[in-house]
Amino acid sequence: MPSLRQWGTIAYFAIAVLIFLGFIYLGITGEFTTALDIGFVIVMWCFVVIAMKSGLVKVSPQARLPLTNWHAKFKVPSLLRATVCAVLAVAWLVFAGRVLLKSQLNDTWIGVIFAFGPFLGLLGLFVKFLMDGLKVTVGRR
Amino acid sequence: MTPCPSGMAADVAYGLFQMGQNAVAIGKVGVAAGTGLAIIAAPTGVGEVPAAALVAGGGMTALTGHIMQLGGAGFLASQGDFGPLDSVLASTLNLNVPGVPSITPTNPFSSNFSSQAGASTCRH
Repeated sequence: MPSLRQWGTIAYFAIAVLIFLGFIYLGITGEFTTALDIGFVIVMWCFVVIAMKSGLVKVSPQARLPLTNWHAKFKVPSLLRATVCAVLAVAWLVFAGRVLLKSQLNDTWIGVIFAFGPFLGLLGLFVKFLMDGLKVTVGRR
Repeated sequence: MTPCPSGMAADVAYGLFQMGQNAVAIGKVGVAAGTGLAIIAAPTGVGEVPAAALVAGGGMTALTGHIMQLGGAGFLASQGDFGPLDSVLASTLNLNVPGVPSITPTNPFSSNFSSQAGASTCRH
């Protein structure tokens, strides 16, 4: 027979799973809108804080509020390079679209490679610089 | 009136636009799910690192998806189909391209996903 503390933990995770399932259900039957995403995070955060404060789930005295030990580190030069690559990638496709239309190369492999080769290269650079420029870490408790 | 874009390059652009839409939707759900996981993990501290990775990965996927969407939509707009561009602007900035009938973006996770091409004024 589980102890009272274990029952609390079971109830905590059961409610958390139900909130998760509700989020997935609403998203699939309706749409995964930004409002639904943000609403889900707010509801989950409130639930966990209430569970911690009410003693539903046992926490150590040093335990901090959810997400407060997350740190995002930004490297501005890398993020600027990523932005430039993104703008260039989109601008290149607009330019290439016009060139292909004028030169009637839309239905040729040369046209496809001309338009999407450089785009893919710039998209790869965008991802590389974004990964360099943004790091999310979890601090020690 | 400009004819609708056609040919291999236009097909790739329509595909790129739809892949971008999917990537944005999946990335957004990844960010929300990762944040949710991190919040659940807060009392114990276990699982916060994978949750952070999920958030970072989801965010990156969503941003890359936006670039793919904009790139595909820009290519098609430069060839005369402003529907996809209108769809992107309507869903992200609540703006509409003048002269293009307003298009409601559909949910890539819904069963009628094949109607995504309805974002285009040329393809249905």
